[in-house]
Formats: sequence, structure tokens, C-alpha cells
Amino acid sequence: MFLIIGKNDVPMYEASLGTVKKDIGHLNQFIIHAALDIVDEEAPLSSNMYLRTVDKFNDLYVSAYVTAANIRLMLVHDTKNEDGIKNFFIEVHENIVKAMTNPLFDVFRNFPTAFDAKVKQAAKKFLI
Amino acid sequence: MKKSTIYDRNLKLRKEVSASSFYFLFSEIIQYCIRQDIHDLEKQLEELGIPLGARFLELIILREKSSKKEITIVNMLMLIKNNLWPLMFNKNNCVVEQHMDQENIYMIKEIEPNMCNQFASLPRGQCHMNCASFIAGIIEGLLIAAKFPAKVTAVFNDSGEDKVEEGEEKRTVYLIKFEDEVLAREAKSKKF
Repeated sequence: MFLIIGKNDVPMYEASLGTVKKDIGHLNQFIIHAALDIVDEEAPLSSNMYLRTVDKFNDLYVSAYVTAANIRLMLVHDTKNEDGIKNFFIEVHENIVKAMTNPLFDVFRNFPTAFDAKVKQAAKKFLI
Repeated sequence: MKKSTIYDRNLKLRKEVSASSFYFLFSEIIQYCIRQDIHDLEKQLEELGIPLGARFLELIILREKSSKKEITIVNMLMLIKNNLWPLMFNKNNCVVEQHMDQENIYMIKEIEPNMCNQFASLPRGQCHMNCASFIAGIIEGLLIAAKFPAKVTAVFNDSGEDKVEEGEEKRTVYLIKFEDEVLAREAKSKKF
């Protein structure tokens, strides 16, 4: 499950990308929410955007990527794939900035459907 | 037939906009704000600039800083001086200084009068309204998005060193006042 979290810890986008094999339903969101504190702690300390695996829950890993404007991209996965996940995050980050160039973006608070297609495309490319 | 979306366009392409289009749009913005509430012109311009700041920050870091965030005050101010100014005005003509007595106030001084004030004339004797509050809003939005909460105001540089002739536009100084939590964070990180 992949989540984009914006200002005030509000989720802006959510997608299940097949990175978690078993079906645990809404537990995914709880896992990511719990890992948010750790991300907020680690983000100001490093000038890197990719924070690798920040948390572990049973046998699931949570990886995070924080952009310059403090938009958090978080992914729950069960297999380690650092390079693939890093490239996925970078690709989604570029698409987020493209979406931000729309001056009406913040008001809608929701990414348009073309963005969704791009995320799925990036996932297919980098997260086997 | 596949429609091309905004996501297919290249982010690294630099396009320039003519100054005339900017002045045209900006004059309409100021007229609109004056119609809304003439006494709050500066505040309205600041509020218009704030959402732009976050977008500038993301663009600069993606294009020119190869995706490395800045986490110290000095580096962030250097980013504003060396990257934001050329991006907005195509010139790198400002100076960054720290206030002598208060260490949470930094100043960005302009060397030439900026675009917002170039053709804006105020009625004689009226209050010192500075249209560069728009740019102050952009800087404030950028700093807030980067997790450096601050208040940025644009004031005219009336102090002695460079005397301005009659009829020439005054230069602006942007006062950046950082909140305490930023200084506390800086102090903590310096300890390590």
C-alpha cells in the first residue's frame, strides 16, 4: 500500500500496488500512521530525501521518502528492494511536482486521475 | 488517440516570460486588491505569494539541487539568494545579512529596485505601502514549506548608506524573522 501524506498529516493519495502479499485490509493505514512519527523525527536530520526503511511491523517493512516541501511518500512492503523503491519514489516525486504546478492544486486536495495512471505505471516499472 | 497530459511535459525545461506580461498581470492584481480593501494591500499580496513559495521550493530542489534538502538556516538563505532570485528575475542581485542585535532576524537587501515596485507609484504622502510584499509572501511560503517557520516583511530601505535621488525608486529590504523553534533546532544540531 502506498500513501502520500501532505500538510497536517492528511493523506492526499492512496493506492494498493501489490507490495503486500497477504490481505490485511485497513491495517495498512494504521501501520503507516504509526511510522509517521519516526519519519518526522528523521526527516530534519538528513539532507537526503529517501529515508530507506524507517519501521518494521511483524514481517512488513515501511519505507519513506520526504520531499522538500515536507510531502511524505510512504510504502508498506514485505520484500526488501531498496533501489527499486527509491526509483519509484523519485518518479512519483517528479509527478507530484508536475501536479503542483497547477495553481488550483491545493484547493482540490486530490490528485487527478492522470496522476493515478502515472503512479501505477511507475509501480509496474520499479516495484516488481 | 492518447491525450498528452501535464505529466508528459518536461520539468527541467526553462521558459521565460516577458516582463511586460508580468507587469500587466501584476497591475491588475494590485487593482483588484485595492478594490477589496485598500488598507490591507500588503497583507493581501503576501497571502497571494505564500502558495507560490512551496512550488518554487520543490522546483528549485528538483532542478538545481539534485534532490538534496537544505536543513540549516544559512544554507536555506543561500538557496534563496543563489537559486530563487535567478529563477524569478534572471539576476542574482541581492545580499543576505544577519541583524546585528537579534540573531533570529535576517535581511535580504536588494541592489536594484525590484520588478514589483518598478512601475507602482503611490499617492504622495500616503502610507509606505510596498508592493514587494508579494515577493515577501513567496519567500515566506518557501520557508514555511521547508519547515523554517518565519515571518517575512518587505520594507523600504530608507537608511543612510545609499541616498536615493528624487524620482528614483527605493530599494526594498526583506526582513526574515525566524521562530524560536528554528533556532532551537539549529542549536541542537550544532551540538553534535
